[in-house]
Amino acid sequence: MSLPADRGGVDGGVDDDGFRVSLEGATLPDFVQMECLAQSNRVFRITSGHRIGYLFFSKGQMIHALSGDHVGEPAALEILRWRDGSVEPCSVGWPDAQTIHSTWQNLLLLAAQARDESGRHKLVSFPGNRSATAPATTGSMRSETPKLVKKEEPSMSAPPSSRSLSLAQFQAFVRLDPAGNLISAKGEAEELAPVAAYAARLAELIGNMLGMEGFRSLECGFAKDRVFLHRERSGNLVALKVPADAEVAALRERFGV
Amino acid sequence: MISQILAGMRDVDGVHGSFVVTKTGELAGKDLPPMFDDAVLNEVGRRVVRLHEGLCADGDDFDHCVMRFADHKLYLRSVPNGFLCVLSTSGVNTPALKMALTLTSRRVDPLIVDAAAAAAAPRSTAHPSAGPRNSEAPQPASGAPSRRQATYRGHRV
Repeated sequence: MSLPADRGGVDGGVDDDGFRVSLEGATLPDFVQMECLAQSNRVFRITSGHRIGYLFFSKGQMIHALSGDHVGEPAALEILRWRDGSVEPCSVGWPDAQTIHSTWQNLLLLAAQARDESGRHKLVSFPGNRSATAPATTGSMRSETPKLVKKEEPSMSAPPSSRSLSLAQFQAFVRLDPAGNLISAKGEAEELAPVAAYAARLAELIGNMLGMEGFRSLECGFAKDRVFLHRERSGNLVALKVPADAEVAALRERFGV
Repeated sequence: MISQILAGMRDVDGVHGSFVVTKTGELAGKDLPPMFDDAVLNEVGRRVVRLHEGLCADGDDFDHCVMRFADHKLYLRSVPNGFLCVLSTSGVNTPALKMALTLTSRRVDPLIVDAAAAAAAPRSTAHPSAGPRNSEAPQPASGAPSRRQATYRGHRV
Protein backbone atom coordinates (compact mmCIF):
# COMPACT_ATOMS: atom_id res chain seq x y z
CA MET A 1 0.00 0.00 0.00
CA SER A 2 1.38 3.39 -0.91
CA LEU A 3 0.87 6.21 1.54
CA PRO A 4 -0.36 9.68 0.68
CA ALA A 5 2.00 12.58 0.64
CA ASP A 6 2.08 15.13 3.40
CA ARG A 7 -1.06 17.23 2.99
CA GLY A 8 0.63 20.33 4.14
CA GLY A 9 -0.37 20.80 7.72
CA VAL A 10 -3.58 21.06 9.60
CA ASP A 11 -5.27 23.23 7.01
CA GLY A 12 -5.10 20.30 4.65
CA GLY A 13 -4.79 22.31 1.48
CA VAL A 14 -5.39 20.51 -1.77
CA ASP A 15 -2.22 18.84 -2.82
CA ASP A 16 -2.32 18.04 -6.50
CA ASP A 17 1.06 16.38 -6.29
CA GLY A 18 -0.03 13.72 -3.84
CA PHE A 19 0.22 9.99 -4.27
CA ARG A 20 -2.47 7.86 -5.73
CA VAL A 21 -3.80 5.68 -2.94
CA SER A 22 -5.18 2.21 -3.15
CA LEU A 23 -6.46 0.72 0.05
CA GLU A 24 -7.37 -2.92 0.26
CA GLY A 25 -10.24 -3.68 2.60
CA ALA A 26 -11.25 -0.08 3.17
CA THR A 27 -14.83 1.06 3.26
CA LEU A 28 -16.34 4.39 2.42
CA PRO A 29 -16.69 5.26 6.13
CA ASP A 30 -13.00 4.47 6.45
CA PHE A 31 -12.33 6.95 3.71
CA VAL A 32 -14.49 9.62 5.34
CA GLN A 33 -12.70 9.08 8.61
CA MET A 34 -9.34 9.37 6.92
CA GLU A 35 -10.20 12.63 5.22
CA CYS A 36 -11.67 14.16 8.34
CA LEU A 37 -8.73 13.18 10.51
CA ALA A 38 -6.44 14.66 7.89
CA GLN A 39 -8.31 17.97 8.19
CA SER A 40 -8.53 18.11 4.43
CA ASN A 41 -10.26 20.73 2.35
CA ARG A 42 -11.24 18.69 -0.64
CA VAL A 43 -14.17 17.51 -2.69
CA PHE A 44 -14.59 13.93 -3.78
CA ARG A 45 -16.77 12.48 -6.44
CA ILE A 46 -18.34 9.17 -5.51
CA THR A 47 -19.54 7.09 -8.44
CA SER A 48 -21.61 3.97 -7.96
CA GLY A 49 -23.10 2.51 -11.10
CA HIS A 50 -25.00 5.36 -12.70
CA ARG A 51 -25.26 7.21 -9.39
CA ILE A 52 -23.00 10.11 -8.70
CA GLY A 53 -22.47 11.96 -5.46
CA TYR A 54 -20.11 14.50 -4.00
CA LEU A 55 -18.67 14.78 -0.51
CA PHE A 56 -17.18 18.08 0.59
CA PHE A 57 -14.63 18.07 3.40
CA SER A 58 -13.41 21.15 5.20
CA LYS A 59 -11.28 21.46 8.31
CA GLY A 60 -11.93 17.99 9.58
CA GLN A 61 -15.66 17.81 8.90
CA MET A 62 -17.91 16.79 6.09
CA ILE A 63 -19.72 20.04 5.44
CA HIS A 64 -21.72 19.36 2.30
CA ALA A 65 -22.90 16.47 0.18
CA LEU A 66 -24.79 16.12 -3.06
CA SER A 67 -26.43 13.13 -4.62
CA GLY A 68 -28.88 12.77 -7.44
CA ASP A 69 -31.91 13.61 -5.33
CA HIS A 70 -30.59 14.95 -2.06
CA VAL A 71 -28.46 17.70 -0.63
CA GLY A 72 -26.74 17.83 2.73
CA GLU A 73 -27.07 15.16 5.36
CA PRO A 74 -29.61 13.00 3.46
CA ALA A 75 -27.22 12.99 0.51
CA ALA A 76 -24.29 12.02 2.72
CA LEU A 77 -26.25 9.16 4.25
CA GLU A 78 -27.40 8.03 0.84
CA ILE A 79 -23.85 8.03 -0.50
CA LEU A 80 -22.55 6.20 2.56
CA ARG A 81 -25.03 3.43 1.80
CA TRP A 82 -23.60 2.82 -1.66
CA ARG A 83 -21.74 -0.43 -1.82
CA ASP A 84 -19.95 -0.35 -5.16
CA GLY A 85 -18.17 2.39 -6.99
CA SER A 86 -15.16 4.59 -7.08
CA VAL A 87 -13.87 7.68 -5.32
CA GLU A 88 -11.91 10.42 -6.95
CA PRO A 89 -10.96 13.96 -6.01
CA CYS A 90 -12.52 16.67 -8.10
CA SER A 91 -12.71 20.43 -8.27
CA VAL A 92 -16.39 21.27 -8.29
CA GLY A 93 -17.55 24.52 -6.78
CA TRP A 94 -17.98 24.87 -3.07
CA PRO A 95 -21.42 25.57 -1.65
CA ASP A 96 -22.38 29.00 -0.46
CA ALA A 97 -23.47 27.61 2.86
CA GLN A 98 -22.70 24.57 4.93
CA THR A 99 -25.48 22.01 4.58
CA ILE A 100 -24.20 19.37 7.02
CA HIS A 101 -23.94 20.34 10.66
CA SER A 102 -23.62 16.91 12.19
CA THR A 103 -20.17 15.74 13.04
CA TRP A 104 -18.64 13.15 10.79
CA GLN A 105 -18.70 10.71 13.69
CA ASN A 106 -22.45 11.12 13.98
CA LEU A 107 -22.89 10.69 10.24
CA LEU A 108 -20.96 7.46 10.29
CA LEU A 109 -23.01 6.21 13.21
CA LEU A 110 -26.21 6.99 11.34
CA ALA A 111 -24.87 5.28 8.26
CA ALA A 112 -23.88 2.25 10.29
CA GLN A 113 -27.33 2.16 11.82
CA ALA A 114 -28.90 2.26 8.38
CA ARG A 115 -26.58 -0.48 7.28
CA ASP A 116 -27.55 -2.67 10.21
CA GLU A 117 -31.20 -2.10 9.54
CA SER A 118 -30.84 -3.14 5.94
CA GLY A 119 -28.88 -6.25 6.79
CA ARG A 120 -25.27 -6.93 7.36
CA HIS A 121 -23.56 -6.26 4.07
CA LYS A 122 -20.35 -4.72 3.11
CA LEU A 123 -21.00 -1.02 2.96
CA VAL A 124 -18.58 -0.42 0.13
CA SER A 125 -17.17 -2.75 -2.42
CA PHE A 126 -15.14 -0.75 -4.83
CA PRO A 127 -14.18 -2.72 -7.90
CA GLY A 128 -10.95 -2.10 -9.71
CA ASN A 129 -11.00 1.26 -11.43
CA ARG A 130 -11.80 1.08 -15.11
CA SER A 131 -9.34 3.72 -16.13
CA ALA A 132 -5.93 2.95 -17.50
CA THR A 133 -4.27 4.27 -14.37
CA ALA A 134 -6.00 1.87 -12.05
CA PRO A 135 -4.10 -1.02 -10.58
CA ALA A 136 -4.86 -4.40 -12.00
CA THR A 137 -7.51 -6.36 -10.19
CA THR A 138 -6.43 -9.70 -8.92
CA GLY A 139 -8.53 -12.69 -8.13
CA SER A 140 -12.13 -13.12 -9.16
CA MET A 141 -14.26 -10.59 -11.01
CA ARG A 142 -15.84 -9.46 -7.78
CA SER A 143 -13.34 -9.45 -5.01
CA GLU A 144 -14.50 -10.59 -1.61
CA THR A 145 -12.53 -7.76 -0.09
CA PRO A 146 -13.93 -4.27 -0.41
CA LYS A 147 -11.51 -2.07 -2.23
CA LEU A 148 -11.25 1.66 -2.41
CA VAL A 149 -9.35 3.42 -5.12
CA LYS A 150 -8.44 7.05 -4.88
CA LYS A 151 -6.91 8.41 -8.03
CA GLU A 152 -6.02 11.61 -9.72
CA GLU A 153 -8.53 13.73 -11.58
CA PRO A 154 -9.15 11.92 -14.87
CA SER A 155 -8.62 13.60 -18.15
CA MET A 156 -11.65 15.11 -19.85
CA SER A 157 -10.63 13.19 -22.93
CA ALA A 158 -10.80 9.88 -21.16
CA PRO A 159 -12.41 7.28 -23.40
CA PRO A 160 -16.04 6.48 -22.65
CA SER A 161 -16.61 3.39 -20.65
CA SER A 162 -18.08 0.51 -22.54
CA ARG A 163 -20.31 -0.34 -19.58
CA SER A 164 -21.69 2.93 -18.42
CA LEU A 165 -21.04 6.61 -18.64
CA SER A 166 -19.34 8.19 -15.67
CA LEU A 167 -19.13 11.86 -14.87
CA ALA A 168 -15.50 11.92 -15.87
CA GLN A 169 -16.48 11.17 -19.44
CA PHE A 170 -19.05 13.92 -19.82
CA GLN A 171 -17.96 16.76 -22.03
CA ALA A 172 -19.71 19.09 -19.64
CA PHE A 173 -21.70 18.81 -16.47
CA VAL A 174 -23.46 21.46 -14.49
CA ARG A 175 -25.90 21.53 -11.60
CA LEU A 176 -27.89 24.68 -10.94
CA ASP A 177 -30.13 25.47 -8.03
CA PRO A 178 -33.72 26.63 -8.71
CA ALA A 179 -32.54 30.24 -8.78
CA GLY A 180 -29.94 29.43 -11.42
CA ASN A 181 -26.95 29.58 -9.12
CA LEU A 182 -24.15 27.22 -9.97
CA ILE A 183 -23.82 24.37 -7.49
CA SER A 184 -21.27 22.31 -9.32
CA ALA A 185 -19.76 22.16 -12.75
CA LYS A 186 -17.27 20.43 -14.94
CA GLY A 187 -16.03 20.94 -18.46
CA GLU A 188 -17.67 23.55 -20.68
CA ALA A 189 -19.97 24.70 -17.90
CA GLU A 190 -19.85 28.36 -18.82
CA GLU A 191 -21.60 27.58 -22.08
CA LEU A 192 -23.85 24.84 -20.82
CA ALA A 193 -25.25 26.55 -17.73
CA PRO A 194 -27.15 29.39 -19.45
CA VAL A 195 -28.32 27.12 -22.24
CA ALA A 196 -29.61 24.61 -19.73
CA ALA A 197 -31.38 27.17 -17.58
CA TYR A 198 -33.04 28.82 -20.57
CA ALA A 199 -34.01 25.58 -22.27
CA ALA A 200 -35.50 24.16 -19.08
CA ARG A 201 -37.55 27.29 -18.57
CA LEU A 202 -38.85 27.21 -22.13
CA ALA A 203 -39.64 23.52 -21.82
CA GLU A 204 -41.67 24.24 -18.72
CA LEU A 205 -43.56 27.02 -20.48
CA ILE A 206 -44.21 24.88 -23.53
CA GLY A 207 -45.44 22.08 -21.32
CA ASN A 208 -47.72 24.36 -19.35
CA MET A 209 -49.26 25.76 -22.52
CA LEU A 210 -49.98 22.24 -23.75
CA GLY A 211 -51.34 21.06 -20.41
CA MET A 212 -48.28 18.94 -19.64
CA GLU A 213 -47.12 19.89 -16.19
CA GLY A 214 -44.15 18.70 -14.22
CA PHE A 215 -41.17 19.10 -16.50
CA ARG A 216 -38.74 16.32 -15.70
CA SER A 217 -36.12 16.08 -18.36
CA LEU A 218 -35.03 16.86 -21.87
CA GLU A 219 -32.78 15.13 -24.34
CA CYS A 220 -31.51 16.90 -27.39
CA GLY A 221 -29.52 15.10 -30.07
CA PHE A 222 -26.96 16.79 -32.27
CA ALA A 223 -24.60 15.39 -34.85
CA LYS A 224 -21.64 15.31 -32.46
CA ASP A 225 -23.13 15.24 -29.02
CA ARG A 226 -26.23 15.05 -26.87
CA VAL A 227 -27.49 17.34 -24.18
CA PHE A 228 -29.51 16.07 -21.25
CA LEU A 229 -31.40 18.23 -18.78
CA HIS A 230 -32.99 16.85 -15.67
CA ARG A 231 -34.99 18.65 -13.03
CA GLU A 232 -34.31 16.95 -9.71
CA ARG A 233 -36.91 16.67 -6.99
CA SER A 234 -35.06 19.32 -5.06
CA GLY A 235 -35.66 21.72 -7.94
CA ASN A 236 -32.03 21.70 -8.97
CA LEU A 237 -31.32 21.39 -12.66
CA VAL A 238 -28.69 18.98 -13.90
CA ALA A 239 -27.33 19.39 -17.41
CA LEU A 240 -24.96 17.05 -19.18
CA LYS A 241 -23.30 17.06 -22.54
CA VAL A 242 -22.03 13.73 -23.78
CA PRO A 243 -20.58 12.53 -27.07
CA ALA A 244 -23.15 11.42 -29.61
CA ASP A 245 -21.75 7.91 -29.68
CA ALA A 246 -21.69 7.47 -25.92
CA GLU A 247 -23.79 4.80 -24.31
CA VAL A 248 -26.65 6.75 -22.75
CA ALA A 249 -29.15 4.03 -21.91
CA ALA A 250 -28.54 4.44 -18.20
CA LEU A 251 -28.97 8.20 -18.44
CA ARG A 252 -32.20 7.82 -20.36
CA GLU A 253 -33.49 5.34 -17.86
CA ARG A 254 -32.65 7.61 -14.99
CA PHE A 255 -34.05 10.74 -16.61
CA GLY A 256 -37.03 9.00 -18.15
CA VAL A 257 -36.46 10.29 -21.66
CA MET B 1 -53.22 17.91 -46.34
CA ILE B 2 -50.73 18.23 -43.50
CA SER B 3 -53.31 17.19 -40.95
CA GLN B 4 -54.01 14.06 -42.95
CA ILE B 5 -50.34 13.16 -42.93
CA LEU B 6 -50.04 13.96 -39.24
CA ALA B 7 -52.99 11.71 -38.47
CA GLY B 8 -50.73 8.79 -39.26
CA MET B 9 -48.73 9.56 -36.13
CA ARG B 10 -51.65 8.43 -34.04
CA ASP B 11 -51.19 4.90 -35.32
CA VAL B 12 -48.50 4.67 -32.65
CA ASP B 13 -49.96 3.77 -29.29
CA GLY B 14 -49.73 6.63 -26.83
CA VAL B 15 -49.59 9.44 -29.37
CA HIS B 16 -52.21 12.08 -28.62
CA GLY B 17 -51.55 14.14 -31.70
CA SER B 18 -49.06 16.32 -33.46
CA PHE B 19 -48.54 19.69 -35.04
CA VAL B 20 -46.08 21.38 -37.32
CA VAL B 21 -44.59 24.83 -37.04
CA THR B 22 -42.33 26.72 -39.38
CA LYS B 23 -38.81 27.80 -38.56
CA THR B 24 -40.28 31.10 -37.43
CA GLY B 25 -42.79 29.42 -35.15
CA GLU B 26 -45.98 29.80 -37.16
CA LEU B 27 -48.40 26.94 -37.07
CA ALA B 28 -48.43 25.11 -40.40
CA GLY B 29 -50.75 22.24 -39.55
CA LYS B 30 -52.06 20.16 -36.71
CA ASP B 31 -53.73 16.92 -35.83
CA LEU B 32 -54.82 17.53 -32.27
CA PRO B 33 -58.05 17.64 -30.30
CA PRO B 34 -59.86 20.96 -30.84
CA MET B 35 -59.05 22.15 -27.34
CA PHE B 36 -55.59 23.05 -28.65
CA ASP B 37 -56.50 26.21 -30.46
CA ASP B 38 -54.29 27.78 -33.04
CA ALA B 39 -53.33 30.78 -30.94
CA VAL B 40 -51.88 28.52 -28.25
CA LEU B 41 -50.05 26.44 -30.81
CA ASN B 42 -48.65 29.54 -32.47
CA GLU B 43 -47.31 30.68 -29.14
CA VAL B 44 -45.93 27.22 -28.47
CA GLY B 45 -44.34 27.37 -31.91
CA ARG B 46 -42.54 30.58 -31.10
CA ARG B 47 -41.21 29.04 -27.90
CA VAL B 48 -40.13 25.95 -29.77
CA VAL B 49 -38.14 28.22 -32.06
CA ARG B 50 -36.56 29.96 -29.08
CA LEU B 51 -35.79 26.62 -27.50
CA HIS B 52 -34.14 25.55 -30.73
CA GLU B 53 -32.15 28.76 -30.89
CA GLY B 54 -31.03 28.34 -27.30
CA LEU B 55 -29.97 24.74 -27.65
CA CYS B 56 -28.31 25.40 -30.98
CA ALA B 57 -26.52 28.54 -29.88
CA ASP B 58 -23.18 27.14 -31.02
CA GLY B 59 -24.43 26.69 -34.56
CA ASP B 60 -25.28 23.00 -34.78
CA ASP B 61 -28.88 22.18 -35.61
CA PHE B 62 -30.44 19.55 -33.41
CA ASP B 63 -31.88 16.45 -34.95
CA HIS B 64 -34.43 15.77 -32.28
CA CYS B 65 -35.46 16.91 -28.86
CA VAL B 66 -37.54 15.04 -26.31
CA MET B 67 -39.14 16.71 -23.33
CA ARG B 68 -40.38 14.51 -20.54
CA PHE B 69 -43.13 15.76 -18.24
CA ALA B 70 -44.93 14.08 -15.38
CA ASP B 71 -47.31 12.11 -17.58
CA HIS B 72 -46.44 13.11 -21.11
CA LYS B 73 -43.67 13.58 -23.58
CA LEU B 74 -43.22 16.12 -26.32
CA TYR B 75 -41.05 15.12 -29.25
CA LEU B 76 -39.59 17.70 -31.57
CA ARG B 77 -38.09 16.74 -34.90
CA SER B 78 -36.26 19.42 -36.79
CA VAL B 79 -36.84 19.36 -40.53
CA PRO B 80 -35.50 21.84 -43.09
CA ASN B 81 -38.65 23.97 -43.13
CA GLY B 82 -39.82 23.68 -39.55
CA PHE B 83 -40.45 21.45 -36.61
CA LEU B 84 -42.66 18.43 -36.23
CA CYS B 85 -44.01 18.27 -32.68
CA VAL B 86 -45.66 15.15 -31.25
CA LEU B 87 -47.52 14.88 -27.95
CA SER B 88 -47.58 11.46 -26.36
CA THR B 89 -47.91 9.62 -23.12
CA SER B 90 -44.70 9.02 -21.22
CA GLY B 91 -44.97 5.31 -21.94
CA VAL B 92 -45.13 5.64 -25.70
CA ASN B 93 -43.33 3.05 -27.77
CA THR B 94 -40.23 5.09 -28.53
CA PRO B 95 -38.79 3.09 -31.45
CA ALA B 96 -42.16 3.03 -33.18
CA LEU B 97 -42.58 6.72 -32.59
CA LYS B 98 -39.15 7.51 -34.00
CA MET B 99 -39.94 5.56 -37.13
CA ALA B 100 -43.25 7.33 -37.52
CA LEU B 101 -41.52 10.66 -36.95
CA THR B 102 -39.00 9.94 -39.66
CA LEU B 103 -41.60 8.95 -42.22
CA THR B 104 -43.98 11.74 -41.34
CA SER B 105 -41.34 14.44 -41.33
CA ARG B 106 -40.26 13.46 -44.84
CA ARG B 107 -43.77 13.85 -46.16
CA VAL B 108 -44.64 16.94 -44.20
CA ASP B 109 -41.54 19.02 -44.76
CA PRO B 110 -42.20 20.00 -48.41
CA LEU B 111 -45.68 21.19 -47.46
CA ILE B 112 -44.77 23.36 -44.51
CA VAL B 113 -44.01 26.63 -46.24
CA ASP B 114 -47.12 26.61 -48.41
CA ALA B 115 -49.33 25.51 -45.55
CA ALA B 116 -48.05 28.25 -43.28
CA ALA B 117 -48.64 30.87 -45.95
CA ALA B 118 -52.15 29.59 -46.57
CA ALA B 119 -52.92 29.54 -42.88
CA ALA B 120 -51.61 33.05 -42.37
CA ALA B 121 -53.68 34.60 -45.16
CA PRO B 122 -57.19 34.03 -43.76
CA ARG B 123 -56.14 34.31 -40.13
CA SER B 124 -57.23 37.92 -39.91
CA THR B 125 -60.82 36.99 -40.79
CA ALA B 126 -61.55 33.40 -39.92
CA HIS B 127 -59.39 30.41 -39.20
CA PRO B 128 -60.07 27.46 -41.50
CA SER B 129 -58.39 24.88 -39.34
CA ALA B 130 -59.93 26.01 -36.10
CA GLY B 131 -63.31 24.36 -36.65
CA PRO B 132 -66.59 25.41 -35.12
CA ARG B 133 -65.12 25.82 -31.66
CA ASN B 134 -63.00 28.76 -32.73
CA SER B 135 -65.95 30.46 -34.34
CA GLU B 136 -67.49 30.78 -30.92
CA ALA B 137 -64.80 33.13 -29.67
CA PRO B 138 -62.78 35.75 -31.44
CA GLN B 139 -59.20 34.93 -32.23
CA PRO B 140 -56.64 36.98 -30.37
CA ALA B 141 -54.47 39.34 -32.30
CA SER B 142 -51.78 37.68 -34.31
CA GLY B 143 -48.99 36.57 -32.05
CA ALA B 144 -50.86 37.12 -28.82
CA PRO B 145 -51.37 34.04 -26.68
CA SER B 146 -54.91 33.03 -25.94
CA ARG B 147 -55.95 33.45 -22.33
CA ARG B 148 -59.12 31.47 -22.85
CA GLN B 149 -59.15 28.49 -20.55
CA ALA B 150 -59.62 24.94 -21.68
CA THR B 151 -58.69 21.65 -20.14
CA TYR B 152 -56.81 18.72 -21.51
CA ARG B 153 -56.62 15.51 -19.52
CA GLY B 154 -57.56 17.44 -16.45
CA HIS B 155 -54.92 20.11 -16.98
CA ARG B 156 -55.63 23.71 -17.83
CA VAL B 157 -54.25 24.70 -21.20
